[in-house]
Amino acid sequence: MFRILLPLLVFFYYSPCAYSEQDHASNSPAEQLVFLNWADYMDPALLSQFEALHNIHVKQIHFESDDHRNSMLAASRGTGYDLVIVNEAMLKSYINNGWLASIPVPVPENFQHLDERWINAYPESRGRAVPFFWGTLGIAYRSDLLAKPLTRWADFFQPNSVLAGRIAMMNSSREVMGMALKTLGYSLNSTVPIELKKAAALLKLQLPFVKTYRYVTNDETSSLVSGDVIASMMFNGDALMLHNINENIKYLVPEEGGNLWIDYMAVFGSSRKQQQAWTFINFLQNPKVAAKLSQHLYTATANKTATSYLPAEFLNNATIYPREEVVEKSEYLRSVPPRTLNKINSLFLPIALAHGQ
Amino acid sequence: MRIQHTFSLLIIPLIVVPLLLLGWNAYQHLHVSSQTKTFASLDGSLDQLTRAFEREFHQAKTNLDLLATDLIVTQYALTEDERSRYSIYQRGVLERFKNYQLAYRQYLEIRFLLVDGYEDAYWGSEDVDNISDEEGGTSWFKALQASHDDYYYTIVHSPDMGAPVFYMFKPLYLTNLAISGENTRPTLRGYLGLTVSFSALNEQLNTIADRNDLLIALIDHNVKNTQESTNDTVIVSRGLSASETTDIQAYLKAVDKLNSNNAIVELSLEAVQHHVGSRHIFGDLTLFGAVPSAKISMLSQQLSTNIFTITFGAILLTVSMIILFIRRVVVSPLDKLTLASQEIGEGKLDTQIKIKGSDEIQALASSFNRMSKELEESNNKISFIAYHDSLTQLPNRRMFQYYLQNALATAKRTKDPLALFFLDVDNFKTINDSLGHDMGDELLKLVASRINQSLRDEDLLTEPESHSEGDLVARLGGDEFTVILPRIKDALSASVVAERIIKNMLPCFSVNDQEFRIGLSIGITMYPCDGDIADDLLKFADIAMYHAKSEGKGNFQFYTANLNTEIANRIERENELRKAISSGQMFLHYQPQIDIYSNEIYGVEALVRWLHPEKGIIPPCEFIPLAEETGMILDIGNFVLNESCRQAMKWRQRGLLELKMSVNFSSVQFARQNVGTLVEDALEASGLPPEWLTVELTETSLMEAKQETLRTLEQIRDLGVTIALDDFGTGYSSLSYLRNFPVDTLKIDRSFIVEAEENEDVKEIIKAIVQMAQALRLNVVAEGVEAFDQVSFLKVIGCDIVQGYYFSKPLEADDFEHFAHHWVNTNANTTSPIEIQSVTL
Repeated sequence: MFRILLPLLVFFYYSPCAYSEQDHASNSPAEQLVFLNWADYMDPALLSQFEALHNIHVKQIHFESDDHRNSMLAASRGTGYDLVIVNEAMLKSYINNGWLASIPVPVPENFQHLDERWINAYPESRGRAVPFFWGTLGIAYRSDLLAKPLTRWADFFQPNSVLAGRIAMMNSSREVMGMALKTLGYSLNSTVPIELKKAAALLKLQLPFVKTYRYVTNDETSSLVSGDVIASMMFNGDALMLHNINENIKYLVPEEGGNLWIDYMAVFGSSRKQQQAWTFINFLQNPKVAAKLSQHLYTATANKTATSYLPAEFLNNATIYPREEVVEKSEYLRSVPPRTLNKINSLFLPIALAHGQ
Repeated sequence: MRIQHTFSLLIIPLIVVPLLLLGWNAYQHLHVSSQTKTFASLDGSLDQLTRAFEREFHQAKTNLDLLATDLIVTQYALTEDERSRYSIYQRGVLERFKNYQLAYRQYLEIRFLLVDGYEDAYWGSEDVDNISDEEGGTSWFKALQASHDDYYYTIVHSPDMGAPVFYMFKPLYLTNLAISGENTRPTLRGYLGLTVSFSALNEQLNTIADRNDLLIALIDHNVKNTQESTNDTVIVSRGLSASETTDIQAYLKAVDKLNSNNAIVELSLEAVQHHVGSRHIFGDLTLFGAVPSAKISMLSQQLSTNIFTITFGAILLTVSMIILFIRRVVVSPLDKLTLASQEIGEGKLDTQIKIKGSDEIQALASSFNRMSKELEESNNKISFIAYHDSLTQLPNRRMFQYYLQNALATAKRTKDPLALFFLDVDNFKTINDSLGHDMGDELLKLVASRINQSLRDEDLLTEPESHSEGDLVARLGGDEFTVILPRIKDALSASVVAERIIKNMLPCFSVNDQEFRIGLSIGITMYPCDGDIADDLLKFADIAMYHAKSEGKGNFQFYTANLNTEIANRIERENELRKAISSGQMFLHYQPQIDIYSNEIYGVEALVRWLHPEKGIIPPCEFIPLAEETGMILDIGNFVLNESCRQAMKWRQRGLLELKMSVNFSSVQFARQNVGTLVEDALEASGLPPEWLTVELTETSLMEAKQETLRTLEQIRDLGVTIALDDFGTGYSSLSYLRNFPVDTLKIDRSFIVEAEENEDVKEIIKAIVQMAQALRLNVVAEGVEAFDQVSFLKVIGCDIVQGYYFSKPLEADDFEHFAHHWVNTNANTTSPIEIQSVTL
């Protein structure tokens, strides 16, 4: 009799304990937000600050590229996350797909500091997403490993032999195809099939020089730092971070012009913590916080008020704030017709996927 | 018949007949089975290919099913907003497609078509160039749209691929649960499709066709209905020339004919008769396999050739193996045995047979070997016995002869001289007689060993088989030995050896604690001086030896030609004498002894005579010395004694005469025989009373006589036998000495009687002898009386008994009988017998 009773007693003794412990763990930071974000696109100190202020823990889940993020969301059908960073090109798809929650009313107080310019750049974003940062897409390269500095996309897509196997791309069809189109002198938003095919052909020709289709990291482990990669497609902020690690890493927006990008922050319609999520976005749009984060990320903030908190040196950095002629030559990624998108995908993905990343 | 042929005749039919039957049977069986096998192989190939096609088909279906239920894919298909579909979901879908394509290389394309035929998501293998993304206008898409099946499949000549490919589509019906209610019917979202390459299947088909030498064709006879280009008809084929265009109708006919079952029919395809089988795969696809009928018959022809070859090969091999086996195991050993037996028959006794194995023949061979070995051993023993003297172990006469022949042959070849010794132990007979044969034998052994020792080391005895030309000592028999010295330098060397032998005989021989001195007489003959024939040489050596004996014994003599004739005569006579004794050529004459006072026949002297078949009667003086020398005197003496006793008794029994029979004895007889016993035996044998026998022996021999002879004489006299002393007067015996001898009668030698005629001194001597005899009370007999004057003189001086030609010459027994009768009749009553006597004679 006791033989059976004893294990039962033991079981009942321990199981409530285990339960309460688990409960406590989830209760201690009262709430948790899951934030789908680029890697190294946040200042951990600010997160701590936010958590201290609101007792909300922000858990980041990183993606490597837009397509990566899309795949993650496709796999979970847009659920499982509270917040997301989404670029201008994808914003429409996310909205169309019904994934994004509307900005609450009344609008969180700090949203008044946002620069209308970025809202107007993509009118679809209004009411759905908050412009976060903006910047350019160019080339980061090791100036010490090249005889002469790169100046053109053509140097990158039709490189000389020094770059064989030393080029890093990124796994985003619009951006990569866009830059290839730019190289060929077309608009990066071209919908002309023959132009798209030519761009794809250019990418195929470039394949022997490509080391990876994965976006290089922006910390000490980066292959640009190690020198395995000499040149890489890169966003300006990441390039500046790497420049601080190794000053030989230079950034440029080539002569053909680059891509002007805007990152928006949005809350998922499927999130149950939409209010907390907006609280977090509101916190980040506090001009002081925005300025701090901007400096931390070497990226231009979409918060107009925040610029007043930024030092002149920062504001004068051409990499962060591109010069006017650069901006003129550069283009935003505009929405293209879906079947063009299909075309771009079916041209680009076999190249990127077949490369095995 | 030879055993091999017997075996072969017996066994070969036993092998050949079953093998032929087996071959025929095998052909029958294999012919049928090869045909069956060909058909089975055709069936098997068709089945295998059908399975391969069906597997592919089934796999495509399964993969389509899997893709159709994939969350990403369904999410994609359900997303109506194209932008979201392409920007968010398409990547995942294409990754799925890519992974499938990597896993199934035969899937040239994986795609999702919208209901209107728009190529919504496409993944193609690297080899495929996707030309069009609008399939809405193609006939197969129209058929796809029209189809209401779960799967649609067709074979097309893809413009993208430029080759026939297999299209398989699955219509994707989905319900968007997020939007619609649960009861909403699923709506068609598009078509998931696979483009399957035939290349792998084609390879398999080709391999199978090649391996089995088949013609294989895959036909889509859907064309019957669609009436498209005939190029679509034959999809893949093998072995048929111009197969894509020709004879399509024949195939189609075959389709009708074969229809349901898997039977194989004979059809004319492209003007050639074929055995054709088919399988319905799926849809309107039919697989054909054909074997040219000629090939089947060719196969069986080839088969028959093969079986023929194998059968005859097997027969040839088996028969030759058996013949070889018989030859090796039976015939060859038997041959060996036969050969070995022949060799043994020819005297090669050391023949051994080498036969390996453990069978009976081997056992026979080993017993044969044992037998041959034992034969050889016993032969060796026998030949040793045959060639050796058992007493001295020296080579015997046969060996000696063999060896001498060989040595002579060698000597002739090498032109070396050779010496032959003939050795004879002096006085051996005497020793043998007096000491007994055992002692004699022992002595001979010692003599043999001393002769051996006397030779040089290399002169030692060697076996004849060795053919080594060493010296040889042989014993010819009795006390005769021979020595052969081959390669002797000269006669001088031979004499050195002979001298050494004689010298080595000088020390005493000790037998049974008795010591003897023995001499050897050696005769030497030399090759080539004396002769070159073995028998001659031996004879010559013998002669030389006799010469040595006659020269006083204990020496050696070389043979000379003179010796030859002299000794040859002697030897001849000796031989003749020996023959005479054995063949009864000896007989007796009897000479009466007359008492000249009583005029009566006092006695008779038996005188031995030799009637030679050629020479007539030979007087005793010519052979008695020889007989004495050779010892034959013993036989002669015996004969004389016994015959005379017998004759005397005969005469007595017939009442004719009562005569004293005088018998002469030789000193040799006394020396070598117990004459007393002889006499006793003779008397007993004949029944003659001893007083009627007189034993005569010469004065000389009495004088030489030893004590034993005298004792014998006493013994004889004691029997009652009279002892007479013959040839008295020749021996210079002391008269006084005569007194001590057991003598009864003196016979005055005839020389006295003859000389007395002219010499008065001799008359005086005779007178003195008679007087002395009378004084000693001895009878006196005068011998050799031939004249009346002599009788008168003897009568005057008182010699009463006379013997001689005056009265009678020695007579044969019968003649003597007549003489005696006549004497008795004429002189019985005569007072003066002498006168009468003289008148009659």
